[in-house]
Amino acid sequence: MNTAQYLASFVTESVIPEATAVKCQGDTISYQQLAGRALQVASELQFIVTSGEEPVAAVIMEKGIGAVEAIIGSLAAGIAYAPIAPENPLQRILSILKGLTPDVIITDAHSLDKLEGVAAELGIPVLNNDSIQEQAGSNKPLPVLKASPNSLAAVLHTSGSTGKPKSVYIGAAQIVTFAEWVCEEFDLNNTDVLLNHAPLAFDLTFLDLFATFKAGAKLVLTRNQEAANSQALQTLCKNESPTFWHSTPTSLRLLVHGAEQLTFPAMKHVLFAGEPMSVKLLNAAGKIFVNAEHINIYGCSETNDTFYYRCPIPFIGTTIPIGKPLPYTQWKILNEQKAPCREGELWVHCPTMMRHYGDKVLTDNAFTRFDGKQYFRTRDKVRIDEDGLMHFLGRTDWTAKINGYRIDLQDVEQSILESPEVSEAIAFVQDIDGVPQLEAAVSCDPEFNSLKLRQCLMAKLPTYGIPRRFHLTQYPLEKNSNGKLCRKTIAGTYSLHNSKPIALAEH
Amino acid sequence: MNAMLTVESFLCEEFAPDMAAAGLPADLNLIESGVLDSLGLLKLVAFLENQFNIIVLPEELDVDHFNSMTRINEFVENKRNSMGDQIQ
Repeated sequence: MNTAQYLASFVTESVIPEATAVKCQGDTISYQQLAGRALQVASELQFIVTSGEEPVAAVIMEKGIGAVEAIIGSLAAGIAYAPIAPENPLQRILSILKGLTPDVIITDAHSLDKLEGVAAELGIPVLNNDSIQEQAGSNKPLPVLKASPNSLAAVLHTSGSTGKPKSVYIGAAQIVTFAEWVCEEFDLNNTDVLLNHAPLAFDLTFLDLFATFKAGAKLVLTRNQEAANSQALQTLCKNESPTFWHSTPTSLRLLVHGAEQLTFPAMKHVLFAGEPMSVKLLNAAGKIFVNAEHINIYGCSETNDTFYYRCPIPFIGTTIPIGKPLPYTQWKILNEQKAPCREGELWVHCPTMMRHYGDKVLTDNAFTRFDGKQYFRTRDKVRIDEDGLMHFLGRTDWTAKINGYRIDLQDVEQSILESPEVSEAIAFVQDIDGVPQLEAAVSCDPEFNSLKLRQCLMAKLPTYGIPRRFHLTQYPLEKNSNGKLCRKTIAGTYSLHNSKPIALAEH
Repeated sequence: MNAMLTVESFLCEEFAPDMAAAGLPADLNLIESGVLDSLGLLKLVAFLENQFNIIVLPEELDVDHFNSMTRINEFVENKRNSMGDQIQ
């Protein structure tokens, strides 16, 4: 068994096969049933993927039990999975597939039509999970793969500055180490119910899937529709009595919105990650989850979680620390001369770190060796206080995190500039009543408008990468004294014109 | 009365200040084009409730009802008709 297969064994060799593994809307599946379905997928994959070192399956499926079958099935066959949201524009899916060159695309009836052309163009075989028949006894036996210290388990994609997504290669051992930490730290066990929120293409779902399955707990998987709906989330919390919540602060805000009168006493752990948490929201969550501990988690796709902080409730203070390192995290704060300091850029070394990016140059720039160990440059500015608590101060580059999605502002600008009518573009994040919003200032032909721009961007960027608001002008954008476009100045200009508060009830 | 114009001017004012004079296509997918996200949806619903004197039930807070101006208009019309029935 290689390490990818070991991850799948959390399901395929579950000690409580009759327990519910996943519930998604009306559907439930037990560990035994999920194992059966996953092994069918694995069996089919072996007919398709016959060669290649470290094979990869692109999983382009609607969020649901079927997608979990495909993920566990790939791993059981010793094949890494690359989850890609089917909602992405086709052009972006194509660009990801070209870089990834997967051995197979696993999809469902819902996305099959959309993908067939692309797959044929690239010569990638397609497996439709919905058409895999139950054929008792005819499964091809699983390959006995050589135990490797670390086989590839997953490839994730995040926004990159050139307009092309960055691929992050993650080994199975990294996910195993992380899942073990979660189970131990939060005493996750088979009585727990974890309410998932993040899309499957997100690193947050490593916890949702693998820590949950390792513990033999029940995963309540939200559909995209439910995840965006305050009421649906409240209903799920009421009906499913989850003990474990894991999401971005933005998603937690959706649940808290309008839930002031409710309490969810079953909840034991509320984990939030992916962007800074606001004190107001934390305290509002504290009133609803009356028996839960609230944990601020810090990490990124490349390293997984590296710092965490149990928040006292009510929290008094202006910003919430990212806290202390996980037991296995080693870290350094370095200044521009790479000398240690108390406030500077955070570098981390941990066993949960990615192996590499798809692009070698990017990889070389991301890591540096100190004392014989690879450290990952987070590009986050941090400060350590007198109590040894770490505080997040901001980014050192032009990426923004909105609702856990990492958005490279240069990626957005590059995509805007591809319209011939546009001469200059600056993307920035505006704070709207405590909620970050992606906006862009664009200098373009007077006949051009934000609608035409949106229509161009819809073909190139995922929804979260399209600015909510455009500021169009036919005049050149403001430059600083060097004649360069200054993001800060421009963001400042528009925040003044834009200070009208938006009435969004938040008590 | 058609809700479309009112909704359009709200959306333009909130999310596309340059579009005040031009027209948003009625069938533009407001979610996929990045005009509305889930928090934006809550703002829109608050606006609709105020403007048209309707109550959007929690279970109706489904992006499918609001993903284009055509859908929003249908939703508001249905709402107003059914509320009218209740009064009669």
